[in-house]
Amino acid sequence: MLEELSRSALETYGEERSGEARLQIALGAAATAVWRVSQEPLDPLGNEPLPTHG
Amino acid sequence: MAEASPAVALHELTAAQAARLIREREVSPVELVENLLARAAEIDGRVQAWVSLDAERALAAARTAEQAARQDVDLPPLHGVPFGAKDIYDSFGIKTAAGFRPYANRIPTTDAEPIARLKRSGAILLGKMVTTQFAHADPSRTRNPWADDRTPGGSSSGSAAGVATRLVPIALGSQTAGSVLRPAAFNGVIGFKPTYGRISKRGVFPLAWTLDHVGLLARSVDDCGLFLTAVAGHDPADPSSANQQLPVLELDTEFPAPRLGIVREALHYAAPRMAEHIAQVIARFEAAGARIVEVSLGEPLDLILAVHHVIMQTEVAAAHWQLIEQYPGSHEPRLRAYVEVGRLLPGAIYLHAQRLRRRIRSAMRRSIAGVDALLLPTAGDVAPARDTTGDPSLQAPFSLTGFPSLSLPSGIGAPEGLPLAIQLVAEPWQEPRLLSVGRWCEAQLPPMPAPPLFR
Repeated sequence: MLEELSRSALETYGEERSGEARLQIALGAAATAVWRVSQEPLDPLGNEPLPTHG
Repeated sequence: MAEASPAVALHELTAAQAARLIREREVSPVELVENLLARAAEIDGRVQAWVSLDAERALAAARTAEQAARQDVDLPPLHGVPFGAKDIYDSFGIKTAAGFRPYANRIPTTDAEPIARLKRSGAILLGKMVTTQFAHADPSRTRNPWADDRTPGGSSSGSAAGVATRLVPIALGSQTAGSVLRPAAFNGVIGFKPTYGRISKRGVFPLAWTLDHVGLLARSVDDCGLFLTAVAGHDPADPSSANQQLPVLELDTEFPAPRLGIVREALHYAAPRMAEHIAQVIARFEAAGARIVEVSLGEPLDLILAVHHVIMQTEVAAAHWQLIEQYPGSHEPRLRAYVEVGRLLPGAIYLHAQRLRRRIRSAMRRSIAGVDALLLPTAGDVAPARDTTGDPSLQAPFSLTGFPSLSLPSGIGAPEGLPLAIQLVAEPWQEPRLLSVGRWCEAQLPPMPAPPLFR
Protein backbone atom coordinates (compact mmCIF):
# COMPACT_ATOMS: atom_id res chain seq x y z
CA MET A 1 0.00 0.00 0.00
CA LEU A 2 2.88 2.37 0.84
CA GLU A 3 4.42 1.67 -2.55
CA GLU A 4 1.16 2.48 -4.30
CA LEU A 5 0.64 5.72 -2.38
CA SER A 6 4.29 6.76 -2.83
CA ARG A 7 4.01 6.22 -6.58
CA SER A 8 0.87 8.30 -6.64
CA ALA A 9 2.57 11.06 -4.60
CA LEU A 10 5.53 11.08 -7.01
CA GLU A 11 3.22 11.43 -10.03
CA THR A 12 1.11 14.14 -8.40
CA TYR A 13 3.64 16.27 -6.51
CA GLY A 14 6.97 15.51 -8.19
CA GLU A 15 10.20 14.07 -6.87
CA GLU A 16 11.28 16.91 -4.63
CA ARG A 17 8.02 17.36 -2.71
CA SER A 18 7.16 13.68 -2.47
CA GLY A 19 10.60 12.98 -1.00
CA GLU A 20 10.23 15.50 1.84
CA ALA A 21 10.21 14.06 5.35
CA ARG A 22 6.83 15.50 6.36
CA LEU A 23 5.13 13.99 3.31
CA GLN A 24 6.89 10.66 3.85
CA ILE A 25 5.58 10.52 7.43
CA ALA A 26 2.04 11.28 6.26
CA LEU A 27 2.34 8.64 3.52
CA GLY A 28 3.48 6.01 6.01
CA ALA A 29 0.64 6.70 8.44
CA ALA A 30 -1.97 6.73 5.68
CA ALA A 31 -0.65 3.51 4.14
CA THR A 32 -0.92 1.72 7.48
CA ALA A 33 -4.50 2.94 7.99
CA VAL A 34 -5.59 2.10 4.45
CA TRP A 35 -4.04 -1.36 4.69
CA ARG A 36 -5.79 -2.05 8.02
CA VAL A 37 -9.17 -0.88 6.69
CA SER A 38 -8.77 -2.93 3.50
CA GLN A 39 -8.09 -6.09 5.53
CA GLU A 40 -11.54 -5.97 7.11
CA PRO A 41 -14.15 -7.82 5.05
CA LEU A 42 -17.75 -6.61 4.79
CA ASP A 43 -20.82 -8.13 3.22
CA PRO A 44 -20.94 -6.57 -0.27
CA LEU A 45 -24.73 -6.44 -0.05
CA GLY A 46 -24.73 -4.84 3.39
CA ASN A 47 -25.68 -1.34 4.41
CA GLU A 48 -24.66 1.61 2.31
CA PRO A 49 -22.02 3.90 3.82
CA LEU A 50 -24.27 6.74 4.94
CA PRO A 51 -22.80 9.00 7.57
CA THR A 52 -25.44 8.80 10.26
CA HIS A 53 -26.01 10.43 13.58
CA GLY A 54 -24.79 8.62 16.70
CA MET B 1 -23.35 45.32 43.41
CA ALA B 2 -20.92 43.68 45.77
CA GLU B 3 -18.34 41.07 44.86
CA ALA B 4 -19.18 37.39 45.37
CA SER B 5 -17.59 36.91 48.76
CA PRO B 6 -14.26 37.90 50.17
CA ALA B 7 -13.15 34.27 49.96
CA VAL B 8 -13.68 33.76 46.21
CA ALA B 9 -11.93 35.88 43.62
CA LEU B 10 -14.13 36.74 40.65
CA HIS B 11 -11.85 34.96 38.18
CA GLU B 12 -12.19 31.74 40.19
CA LEU B 13 -15.97 31.56 39.67
CA THR B 14 -17.32 28.81 37.47
CA ALA B 15 -20.02 29.75 34.96
CA ALA B 16 -22.74 28.23 37.16
CA GLN B 17 -21.50 30.11 40.24
CA ALA B 18 -21.22 33.38 38.33
CA ALA B 19 -24.72 32.97 36.85
CA ARG B 20 -26.23 32.34 40.27
CA LEU B 21 -24.42 35.24 41.94
CA ILE B 22 -25.35 37.62 39.14
CA ARG B 23 -28.98 36.55 39.45
CA GLU B 24 -28.79 37.14 43.22
CA ARG B 25 -27.16 40.53 42.56
CA GLU B 26 -24.10 39.48 44.52
CA VAL B 27 -21.81 39.88 41.52
CA SER B 28 -21.77 42.63 38.94
CA PRO B 29 -21.35 41.46 35.32
CA VAL B 30 -19.36 44.64 34.67
CA GLU B 31 -16.95 43.92 37.53
CA LEU B 32 -16.62 40.33 36.36
CA VAL B 33 -15.75 41.35 32.79
CA GLU B 34 -13.37 44.05 34.02
CA ASN B 35 -11.71 41.54 36.34
CA LEU B 36 -11.13 39.05 33.50
CA LEU B 37 -9.84 41.76 31.15
CA ALA B 38 -7.38 42.86 33.84
CA ARG B 39 -6.31 39.27 34.40
CA ALA B 40 -5.71 38.84 30.67
CA ALA B 41 -3.53 41.96 30.65
CA GLU B 42 -1.59 40.55 33.60
CA ILE B 43 -0.98 36.92 32.61
CA ASP B 44 -1.92 36.20 28.99
CA GLY B 45 1.54 37.15 27.78
CA ARG B 46 2.71 33.96 29.49
CA VAL B 47 -0.28 31.78 28.54
CA GLN B 48 -1.04 32.98 25.00
CA ALA B 49 -4.62 31.78 25.18
CA TRP B 50 -6.34 34.80 23.59
CA VAL B 51 -6.10 35.72 19.92
CA SER B 52 -8.13 38.85 20.56
CA LEU B 53 -10.29 40.38 23.26
CA ASP B 54 -13.43 42.30 22.41
CA ALA B 55 -13.31 44.53 25.47
CA GLU B 56 -15.55 47.30 24.20
CA ARG B 57 -18.46 45.09 23.12
CA ALA B 58 -18.06 42.80 26.16
CA LEU B 59 -18.24 45.76 28.55
CA ALA B 60 -21.24 47.18 26.73
CA ALA B 61 -23.00 43.80 26.99
CA ALA B 62 -22.05 43.59 30.67
CA ARG B 63 -23.54 47.02 31.37
CA THR B 64 -26.79 45.96 29.68
CA ALA B 65 -26.75 42.72 31.66
CA GLU B 66 -26.23 44.64 34.88
CA GLN B 67 -29.20 46.88 34.20
CA ALA B 68 -31.40 43.86 33.51
CA ALA B 69 -30.19 42.16 36.70
CA ARG B 70 -31.26 45.21 38.71
CA GLN B 71 -34.83 44.75 37.53
CA ASP B 72 -37.03 41.94 38.75
CA VAL B 73 -37.29 40.13 35.44
CA ASP B 74 -36.65 36.53 34.44
CA LEU B 75 -33.02 36.29 33.46
CA PRO B 76 -31.70 33.73 30.96
CA PRO B 77 -29.56 30.91 32.44
CA LEU B 78 -26.14 32.33 31.55
CA HIS B 79 -27.03 35.97 32.11
CA GLY B 80 -23.87 38.06 32.34
CA VAL B 81 -21.47 35.10 32.20
CA PRO B 82 -18.37 35.69 30.02
CA PHE B 83 -17.16 33.03 27.60
CA GLY B 84 -14.42 32.59 25.01
CA ALA B 85 -14.64 30.95 21.59
CA LYS B 86 -11.99 29.06 19.67
CA ASP B 87 -10.99 31.10 16.64
CA ILE B 88 -12.67 28.75 14.18
CA TYR B 89 -16.11 30.04 15.28
CA ASP B 90 -17.39 32.98 13.25
CA SER B 91 -18.05 35.95 15.50
CA PHE B 92 -19.91 39.06 14.47
CA GLY B 93 -17.54 42.01 14.09
CA ILE B 94 -14.49 40.16 15.46
CA LYS B 95 -11.65 38.87 13.31
CA THR B 96 -11.91 35.10 12.79
CA ALA B 97 -8.83 33.63 11.16
CA ALA B 98 -8.67 29.94 12.23
CA GLY B 99 -4.91 30.39 12.61
CA PHE B 100 -4.63 30.99 8.84
CA ARG B 101 -2.62 34.07 7.81
CA PRO B 102 -4.63 34.89 4.65
CA TYR B 103 -7.71 35.21 6.88
CA ALA B 104 -6.03 37.57 9.35
CA ASN B 105 -8.43 40.40 8.50
CA ARG B 106 -11.54 38.30 7.93
CA ILE B 107 -14.42 39.81 9.92
CA PRO B 108 -17.66 37.79 9.89
CA THR B 109 -20.98 39.59 9.71
CA THR B 110 -22.81 36.91 11.71
CA ASP B 111 -22.11 34.72 14.72
CA ALA B 112 -21.61 30.98 14.44
CA GLU B 113 -24.79 29.32 15.70
CA PRO B 114 -23.29 28.11 19.04
CA ILE B 115 -22.09 31.66 19.79
CA ALA B 116 -25.48 33.09 18.82
CA ARG B 117 -27.27 30.64 21.12
CA LEU B 118 -24.91 31.32 24.03
CA LYS B 119 -25.54 35.05 23.60
CA ARG B 120 -29.29 34.43 23.55
CA SER B 121 -28.82 32.61 26.87
CA GLY B 122 -27.30 35.76 28.30
CA ALA B 123 -23.60 34.90 27.97
CA ILE B 124 -21.08 37.56 26.96
CA LEU B 125 -18.41 36.83 24.34
CA LEU B 126 -15.13 38.09 25.80
CA GLY B 127 -12.94 37.23 22.81
CA LYS B 128 -11.42 34.62 20.53
CA MET B 129 -9.05 31.89 21.68
CA VAL B 130 -6.00 30.44 20.00
CA THR B 131 -6.49 27.38 17.81
CA THR B 132 -4.02 25.30 15.89
CA GLN B 133 -4.37 26.14 12.21
CA PHE B 134 -7.85 25.04 11.09
CA ALA B 135 -8.07 22.90 14.25
CA HIS B 136 -5.49 20.42 12.90
CA ALA B 137 -2.31 19.05 14.45
CA ASP B 138 0.45 21.68 14.01
CA PRO B 139 1.16 23.05 17.51
CA SER B 140 -0.10 26.56 18.30
CA ARG B 141 1.68 29.29 20.27
CA THR B 142 -0.33 28.62 23.46
CA ARG B 143 1.73 27.44 26.43
CA ASN B 144 0.89 24.66 28.85
CA PRO B 145 0.41 26.59 32.12
CA TRP B 146 1.52 23.55 34.16
CA ALA B 147 4.90 23.14 32.44
CA ASP B 148 6.37 25.34 29.75
CA ASP B 149 8.20 22.45 28.07
CA ARG B 150 4.94 20.51 27.52
CA THR B 151 2.16 20.86 24.98
CA PRO B 152 -1.15 22.33 26.08
CA GLY B 153 -2.67 19.86 23.64
CA GLY B 154 -4.69 20.83 20.65
CA SER B 155 -6.42 21.87 18.74
CA SER B 156 -8.47 23.79 21.33
CA SER B 157 -5.24 24.89 23.02
CA GLY B 158 -6.20 28.49 23.87
CA SER B 159 -9.64 27.47 25.15
CA ALA B 160 -8.18 24.85 27.50
CA ALA B 161 -5.23 26.88 28.80
CA GLY B 162 -7.47 29.94 29.18
CA VAL B 163 -10.02 28.08 31.30
CA ALA B 164 -7.23 26.47 33.35
CA THR B 165 -5.60 29.82 34.15
CA ARG B 166 -8.96 31.41 35.03
CA LEU B 167 -8.87 33.82 32.09
CA VAL B 168 -12.48 32.84 31.39
CA PRO B 169 -14.89 30.40 33.07
CA ILE B 170 -15.97 28.54 29.91
CA ALA B 171 -14.78 28.40 26.31
CA LEU B 172 -15.99 26.80 23.10
CA GLY B 173 -13.69 24.20 21.56
CA SER B 174 -14.12 21.66 18.80
CA GLN B 175 -13.18 18.01 18.36
CA THR B 176 -12.58 15.96 15.21
CA ALA B 177 -10.21 13.40 16.76
CA GLY B 178 -9.50 14.50 20.35
CA SER B 179 -9.26 18.28 20.29
CA VAL B 180 -11.55 19.07 23.22
CA LEU B 181 -10.91 16.22 25.64
CA ARG B 182 -7.15 15.94 25.20
CA PRO B 183 -6.31 19.62 25.87
CA ALA B 184 -8.79 19.47 28.75
CA ALA B 185 -6.79 16.58 30.21
CA PHE B 186 -3.40 18.25 29.67
CA ASN B 187 -4.56 21.51 31.30
CA GLY B 188 -6.48 20.07 34.26
CA VAL B 189 -9.96 21.23 33.20
CA ILE B 190 -13.19 19.58 32.09
CA GLY B 191 -13.78 18.79 28.42
CA PHE B 192 -17.26 17.95 27.12
CA LYS B 193 -18.15 16.71 23.64
CA PRO B 194 -21.89 16.09 23.14
CA THR B 195 -23.33 13.60 20.65
CA TYR B 196 -22.63 14.24 16.97
CA GLY B 197 -25.56 16.25 15.63
CA ARG B 198 -26.62 17.61 19.02
CA ILE B 199 -25.18 21.09 18.41
CA SER B 200 -25.26 23.07 15.19
CA LYS B 201 -21.91 23.72 13.50
CA ARG B 202 -23.17 26.50 11.26
CA GLY B 203 -20.50 29.17 11.07
CA VAL B 204 -17.72 26.91 12.39
CA PHE B 205 -14.80 26.22 10.02
CA PRO B 206 -15.00 22.58 8.94
CA LEU B 207 -12.07 20.22 9.27
CA ALA B 208 -13.81 16.86 8.56
CA TRP B 209 -17.58 17.16 8.23
CA THR B 210 -18.74 13.80 9.58
CA LEU B 211 -16.33 13.92 12.53
CA ASP B 212 -16.39 17.57 13.66
CA HIS B 213 -18.07 18.23 17.01
CA VAL B 214 -18.73 21.40 18.97
CA GLY B 215 -17.47 21.07 22.55
CA LEU B 216 -16.79 22.94 25.77
CA LEU B 217 -13.90 23.55 28.13
CA ALA B 218 -15.08 24.28 31.66
CA ARG B 219 -14.28 23.84 35.36
CA SER B 220 -17.47 22.17 36.57
CA VAL B 221 -19.90 19.58 35.25
CA ASP B 222 -22.74 21.97 36.07
CA ASP B 223 -21.24 24.39 33.56
CA CYS B 224 -21.45 21.68 30.89
CA GLY B 225 -25.14 21.24 31.66
CA LEU B 226 -25.80 24.99 31.40
CA PHE B 227 -23.89 25.10 28.13
CA LEU B 228 -25.74 22.14 26.65
CA THR B 229 -29.14 23.54 27.56
CA ALA B 230 -28.17 26.82 25.91
CA VAL B 231 -26.82 25.50 22.62
CA ALA B 232 -28.51 22.13 21.92
CA GLY B 233 -31.32 21.89 19.44
CA HIS B 234 -32.06 21.31 15.80
CA ASP B 235 -30.78 23.80 13.24
CA PRO B 236 -32.39 23.17 9.84
CA ALA B 237 -29.65 25.25 8.21
CA ASP B 238 -26.95 22.76 9.28
CA PRO B 239 -27.24 19.38 7.53
CA SER B 240 -25.37 17.65 10.36
CA SER B 241 -27.77 18.92 13.01
CA ALA B 242 -30.15 16.24 14.29
CA ASN B 243 -33.79 16.80 15.16
CA GLN B 244 -33.43 15.42 18.68
CA GLN B 245 -35.06 16.92 21.72
CA LEU B 246 -32.76 17.45 24.71
CA PRO B 247 -34.49 16.17 27.86
CA VAL B 248 -34.59 18.56 30.79
CA LEU B 249 -31.33 18.23 32.70
CA GLU B 250 -31.83 17.59 36.39
CA LEU B 251 -28.26 17.60 37.58
CA ASP B 252 -29.26 18.73 41.06
CA THR B 253 -31.04 15.43 41.64
CA GLU B 254 -28.84 12.97 43.47
CA PHE B 255 -27.63 10.32 41.05
CA PRO B 256 -27.05 6.86 42.57
CA ALA B 257 -23.54 5.41 42.47
CA PRO B 258 -23.14 4.45 38.79
CA ARG B 259 -22.28 1.27 36.97
CA LEU B 260 -19.12 1.93 34.99
CA GLY B 261 -17.50 -0.15 32.27
CA ILE B 262 -13.74 0.07 32.37
CA VAL B 263 -12.44 -0.24 28.81
CA ARG B 264 -9.93 -3.07 28.57
CA GLU B 265 -8.25 -1.89 25.34
CA ALA B 266 -7.63 1.56 26.79
CA LEU B 267 -5.89 0.17 29.86
CA HIS B 268 -3.62 -1.92 27.64
CA TYR B 269 -2.85 1.16 25.53
CA ALA B 270 -2.10 3.52 28.44
CA ALA B 271 1.32 4.06 29.99
CA PRO B 272 1.86 2.01 33.18
CA ARG B 273 1.57 5.03 35.46
CA MET B 274 -1.73 6.00 33.84
CA ALA B 275 -3.07 2.46 34.20
CA GLU B 276 -2.02 2.58 37.86
CA HIS B 277 -3.79 5.92 38.30
CA ILE B 278 -6.97 4.50 36.78
CA ALA B 279 -6.77 1.57 39.21
CA GLN B 280 -6.63 4.10 42.07
CA VAL B 281 -9.62 6.01 40.67
CA ILE B 282 -11.57 2.75 40.37
CA ALA B 283 -10.79 1.88 44.00
CA ARG B 284 -12.00 5.32 45.06
CA PHE B 285 -15.22 4.97 43.06
CA GLU B 286 -15.89 1.45 44.31
CA ALA B 287 -15.43 2.62 47.90
CA ALA B 288 -18.13 5.22 47.20
CA GLY B 289 -20.50 2.52 45.92
CA ALA B 290 -19.89 2.41 42.16
CA ARG B 291 -20.01 -0.95 40.43
CA ILE B 292 -17.18 -1.47 37.97
CA VAL B 293 -17.14 -4.11 35.26
CA GLU B 294 -14.58 -4.69 32.54
CA VAL B 295 -15.83 -4.17 28.98
CA SER B 296 -14.38 -4.20 25.48
CA LEU B 297 -14.99 -1.65 22.72
CA GLY B 298 -16.20 -4.62 20.65
CA GLU B 299 -13.78 -4.00 17.77
CA PRO B 300 -9.96 -3.84 17.85
CA LEU B 301 -8.62 -0.40 18.78
CA ASP B 302 -6.20 -0.42 15.83
CA LEU B 303 -9.11 -0.95 13.42
CA ILE B 304 -11.15 1.84 15.03
CA LEU B 305 -8.20 4.23 14.69
CA ALA B 306 -7.50 3.18 11.10
CA VAL B 307 -11.13 3.79 10.14
CA HIS B 308 -11.01 7.19 11.85
CA HIS B 309 -7.75 8.02 10.06
CA VAL B 310 -9.04 7.18 6.58
CA ILE B 311 -12.29 9.09 7.03
CA MET B 312 -10.65 12.12 8.62
CA GLN B 313 -7.79 12.40 6.16
CA THR B 314 -10.07 12.07 3.13
CA GLU B 315 -12.53 14.66 4.45
CA VAL B 316 -9.78 17.10 5.52
CA ALA B 317 -8.33 16.82 2.01
CA ALA B 318 -11.73 17.47 0.45
CA ALA B 319 -12.30 20.47 2.70
CA HIS B 320 -8.87 22.04 2.26
CA TRP B 321 -7.14 21.20 -1.03
CA GLN B 322 -8.64 24.18 -2.84
CA LEU B 323 -7.38 26.53 -0.12
CA ILE B 324 -3.90 25.09 -0.50
CA GLU B 325 -4.00 25.84 -4.22
CA GLN B 326 -5.50 29.27 -3.63
CA TYR B 327 -3.02 30.30 -0.94
CA PRO B 328 0.20 28.37 -1.62
CA GLY B 329 2.68 28.38 1.26
CA SER B 330 0.10 29.44 3.85
CA HIS B 331 -0.66 26.06 5.42
CA GLU B 332 1.30 24.66 8.35
CA PRO B 333 3.54 21.72 7.39
CA ARG B 334 1.60 18.87 9.03
CA LEU B 335 -1.74 20.06 7.66
CA ARG B 336 -0.34 20.58 4.16
CA ALA B 337 1.17 17.08 4.04
CA TYR B 338 -2.00 15.57 5.52
CA VAL B 339 -4.14 17.19 2.80
CA GLU B 340 -1.74 16.27 0.01
CA VAL B 341 -1.73 12.61 1.04
CA GLY B 342 -5.46 12.65 1.75
CA ARG B 343 -6.11 13.56 -1.88
CA LEU B 344 -4.41 10.33 -2.95
CA LEU B 345 -6.58 7.94 -0.89
CA PRO B 346 -8.95 5.80 -2.98
CA GLY B 347 -12.66 6.66 -2.79
CA ALA B 348 -13.54 2.99 -2.35
CA ILE B 349 -11.44 2.86 0.82
CA TYR B 350 -13.21 5.91 2.23
CA LEU B 351 -16.59 4.28 1.63
CA HIS B 352 -15.37 0.97 3.07
CA ALA B 353 -14.25 2.87 6.18
CA GLN B 354 -17.66 4.55 6.47
CA ARG B 355 -19.35 1.13 6.36
CA LEU B 356 -16.95 -0.20 9.00
CA ARG B 357 -17.78 2.86 11.07
CA ARG B 358 -21.40 1.71 11.22
CA ARG B 359 -20.27 -1.73 12.43
CA ILE B 360 -17.97 -0.16 15.05
CA ARG B 361 -20.82 2.02 16.28
CA SER B 362 -23.07 -1.02 16.73
CA ALA B 363 -20.35 -2.89 18.61
CA MET B 364 -19.76 0.09 20.87
CA ARG B 365 -23.47 0.35 21.61
CA ARG B 366 -23.46 -3.29 22.74
CA SER B 367 -20.42 -2.66 24.97
CA ILE B 368 -22.06 0.24 26.71
CA ALA B 369 -25.54 -1.31 27.00
CA GLY B 370 -25.12 -2.77 30.49
CA VAL B 371 -23.48 0.24 32.15
CA ASP B 372 -24.23 3.89 32.77
CA ALA B 373 -20.99 4.99 31.15
CA LEU B 374 -17.65 3.74 29.89
CA LEU B 375 -14.61 4.72 31.94
CA LEU B 376 -11.12 5.06 30.51
CA PRO B 377 -8.13 7.40 30.65
CA THR B 378 -8.64 10.50 28.52
CA ALA B 379 -5.06 10.29 27.27
CA GLY B 380 -2.51 7.50 27.43
CA ASP B 381 -0.15 9.62 29.53
CA VAL B 382 0.50 13.18 30.75
CA ALA B 383 1.15 16.02 28.29
CA PRO B 384 4.16 15.28 26.05
CA ALA B 385 6.72 17.76 24.67
CA ARG B 386 5.72 20.89 22.74
CA ASP B 387 6.55 19.62 19.25
CA THR B 388 3.21 17.76 19.11
CA THR B 389 -0.34 18.31 20.34
CA GLY B 390 -0.46 14.81 21.81
CA ASP B 391 -1.90 11.43 20.93
CA PRO B 392 -5.65 11.28 20.07
CA SER B 393 -5.92 7.47 20.19
CA LEU B 394 -8.14 7.30 23.29
CA GLN B 395 -10.42 10.20 22.34
CA ALA B 396 -10.84 9.55 18.60
CA PRO B 397 -12.97 6.37 18.93
CA PHE B 398 -15.83 8.50 20.29
CA SER B 399 -15.41 11.19 17.66
CA LEU B 400 -15.72 8.38 15.12
CA THR B 401 -18.91 6.98 16.61
CA GLY B 402 -20.32 10.34 17.74
CA PHE B 403 -20.90 9.10 21.31
CA PRO B 404 -20.90 11.87 23.93
CA SER B 405 -17.76 12.02 26.05
CA LEU B 406 -16.57 13.93 29.09
CA SER B 407 -13.07 14.37 30.50
CA LEU B 408 -12.64 15.06 34.21
CA PRO B 409 -9.36 16.01 35.90
CA SER B 410 -8.60 13.18 38.30
CA GLY B 411 -5.26 13.93 39.93
CA ILE B 412 -1.70 15.12 39.51
CA GLY B 413 0.90 12.72 38.15
CA ALA B 414 4.30 12.27 39.75
CA PRO B 415 7.08 13.17 39.25
CA GLU B 416 6.33 16.06 36.85
CA GLY B 417 3.26 17.40 38.66
CA LEU B 418 1.10 17.33 35.52
CA PRO B 419 -2.68 16.79 35.39
CA LEU B 420 -4.21 13.34 34.84
CA ALA B 421 -7.75 12.79 33.61
CA ILE B 422 -10.46 10.19 33.22
CA GLN B 423 -12.91 9.95 30.36
CA LEU B 424 -16.58 8.98 30.60
CA VAL B 425 -18.60 7.98 27.55
CA ALA B 426 -22.34 7.39 27.22
CA GLU B 427 -24.72 6.19 24.53
CA PRO B 428 -25.74 8.67 21.85
CA TRP B 429 -28.24 11.30 23.06
CA GLN B 430 -27.66 10.27 26.69
CA GLU B 431 -25.91 13.47 27.76
CA PRO B 432 -28.22 13.82 30.78
CA ARG B 433 -26.98 10.48 32.08
CA LEU B 434 -23.37 11.27 31.13
CA LEU B 435 -23.45 14.56 33.01
CA SER B 436 -25.17 12.98 36.02
CA VAL B 437 -22.49 10.29 36.16
CA GLY B 438 -19.88 13.00 35.61
CA ARG B 439 -21.25 14.99 38.51
CA TRP B 440 -21.14 11.91 40.74
CA CYS B 441 -17.52 11.21 39.74
CA GLU B 442 -16.56 14.87 40.11
CA ALA B 443 -17.75 14.73 43.72
CA GLN B 444 -15.49 11.73 44.46
CA LEU B 445 -12.36 13.22 42.87
CA PRO B 446 -10.00 15.75 44.45
CA PRO B 447 -10.66 19.32 43.22
CA MET B 448 -8.22 20.49 40.57
CA PRO B 449 -6.59 23.83 41.46
CA ALA B 450 -5.26 26.39 39.01
CA PRO B 451 -1.72 25.67 37.77
CA PRO B 452 0.78 26.71 40.49
CA LEU B 453 2.18 29.70 38.59
CA PHE B 454 -1.29 31.14 37.97
CA ARG B 455 -2.97 30.92 41.38
